[in-house]
Amino acid sequence: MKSYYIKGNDINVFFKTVIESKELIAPVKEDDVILFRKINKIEDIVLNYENTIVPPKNLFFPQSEKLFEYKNENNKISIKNNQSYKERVIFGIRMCDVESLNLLDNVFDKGFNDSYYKEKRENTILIELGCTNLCKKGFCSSLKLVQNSTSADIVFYPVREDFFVTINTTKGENLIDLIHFKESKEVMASLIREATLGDKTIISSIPQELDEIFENKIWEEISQKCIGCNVCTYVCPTCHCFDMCDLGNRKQGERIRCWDSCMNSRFTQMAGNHNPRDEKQQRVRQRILHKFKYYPDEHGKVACVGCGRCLQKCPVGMDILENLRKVKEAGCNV
Amino acid sequence: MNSNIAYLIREKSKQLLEYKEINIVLGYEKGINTDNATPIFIRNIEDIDKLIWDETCIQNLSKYLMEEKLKNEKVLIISKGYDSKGIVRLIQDNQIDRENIVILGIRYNDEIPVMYDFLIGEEIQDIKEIRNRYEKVDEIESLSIDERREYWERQFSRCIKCYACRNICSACNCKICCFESNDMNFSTKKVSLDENEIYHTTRAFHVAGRCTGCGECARVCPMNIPLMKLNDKVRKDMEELFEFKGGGISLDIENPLGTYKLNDPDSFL
Repeated sequence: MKSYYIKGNDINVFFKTVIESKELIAPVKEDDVILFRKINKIEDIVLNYENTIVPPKNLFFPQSEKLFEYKNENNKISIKNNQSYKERVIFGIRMCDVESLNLLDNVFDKGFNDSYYKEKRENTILIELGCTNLCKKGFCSSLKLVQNSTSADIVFYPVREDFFVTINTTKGENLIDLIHFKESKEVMASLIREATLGDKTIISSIPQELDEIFENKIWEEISQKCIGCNVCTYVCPTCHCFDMCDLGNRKQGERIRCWDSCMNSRFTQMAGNHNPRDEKQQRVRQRILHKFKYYPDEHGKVACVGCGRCLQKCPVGMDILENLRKVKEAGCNV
Repeated sequence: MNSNIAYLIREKSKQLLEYKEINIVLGYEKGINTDNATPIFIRNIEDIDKLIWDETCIQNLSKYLMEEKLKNEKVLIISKGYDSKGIVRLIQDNQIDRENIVILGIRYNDEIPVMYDFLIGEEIQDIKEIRNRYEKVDEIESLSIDERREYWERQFSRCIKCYACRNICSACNCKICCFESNDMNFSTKKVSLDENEIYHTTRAFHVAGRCTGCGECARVCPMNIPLMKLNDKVRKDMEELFEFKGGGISLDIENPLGTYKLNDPDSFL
């Protein structure tokens, strides 16, 4: 693993070089909202932010993505799929979100390969920006995510005005080779890890024996205040449910894949109006069990990276940590 | 002051629960990991001490009265000025039954409940006339058409269609929203400037004359879309055209757009 030490001002040299040959996506500030955007002017890039509101899953699994177009000309049907991805560099992804992509890989790229997702993953170089503080609402430390074991291709650790850079992959190395930075022999990562992570409650999956709390009054209690909007699922870096929309008519149209949310009562509504998750408590239960039971059962890890976005953005203060605690407690009392 | 209000809330809640005047208290409890206080539904007297009052009790609770599960219950709702306006709106729209609701009004931060069964809180000497309620609208109106378009396109293109603004809103009380109806099919889950813009402008028009101005839509928007600028524009127009001072002020004031008068202005037709 190579390391470099980059002087603060030289980061712009780096951005400039990247932009010349590749698409660069990085955080920008728009009306006080931090967003990942394609960068045309490097002055737009911001470096002092906690995290983006919309998670980077949007860059691999877009909220709305055209899968194909169809045309029917005199009963000759043609289908066009314009998938073509330029190599791109995402700068400024946080450790929690890097981990979220690993979790999404299990869904989109193991067993079934989702070509739309996979191609974007393969054509992207991920550059993590190391966290110098724990986010206000983040609880990554409870999940034991560790910064120096990240799977990002490159990591920029801020050190005062400068950056200590480590390279984890050949992809990352090839990119850094474009610029002639001075190699560093120092090792900084572990130091930063100490400063960043402090332990709070430990988040873990809901154990097997808690199967029996599927029917329990705790779900009604914790779901009462939920207003059934989609915020938690849309700002969540690991929520990945989607729906298909066909837009068009007999002659032509397109098929679009859109994010969907299990918090929405129509998510499970079926023809004939039957709805297996008609009640709010069933939906809140579904989201918690998906993250802390079904996903871990399948893939061995909880589907939560502790970014704290749902906690921070829920309009009514639904508290994932508190809810999980209550659910586990209810399980112990069965 | 806050602790005194909290004390009075608890005492009143306890008393009403004890005498079985109500069976649920809808109030606020302290958030464990959240910055703001969070809604709580209390059925047992033992839980009364969870009720709090402080400056983080900002959420408008009125929309919860529409919950199917509360329909046949007697609810005591802790109600600031805008919550009470929300309640008036829901009654006017025949969504809730006044008989089933006991309102504990809280005078706080110059907000005075418009309807209540009990009233506690700060003594408010004289109500200051708010200097210009539509200052932000004036700012937008001073821009050129192109600048306005650019401004709103930037805002709407950020929308992620989470529908938090709609779900928290006491004026948005349709059982099935036209934007999510399978039958009407004029909106999809796709996010695009067109679809987002249609949603927000339709919603602003739809709540015209019913918006109480509580600002919850803007507060809950995860993408910082300044939705109150849009609603305030409509509110300003309503005031100028119909001398209407906003939704939910009184049960006796009807929404001008829901009634017809011979001298209604029609210059916009």
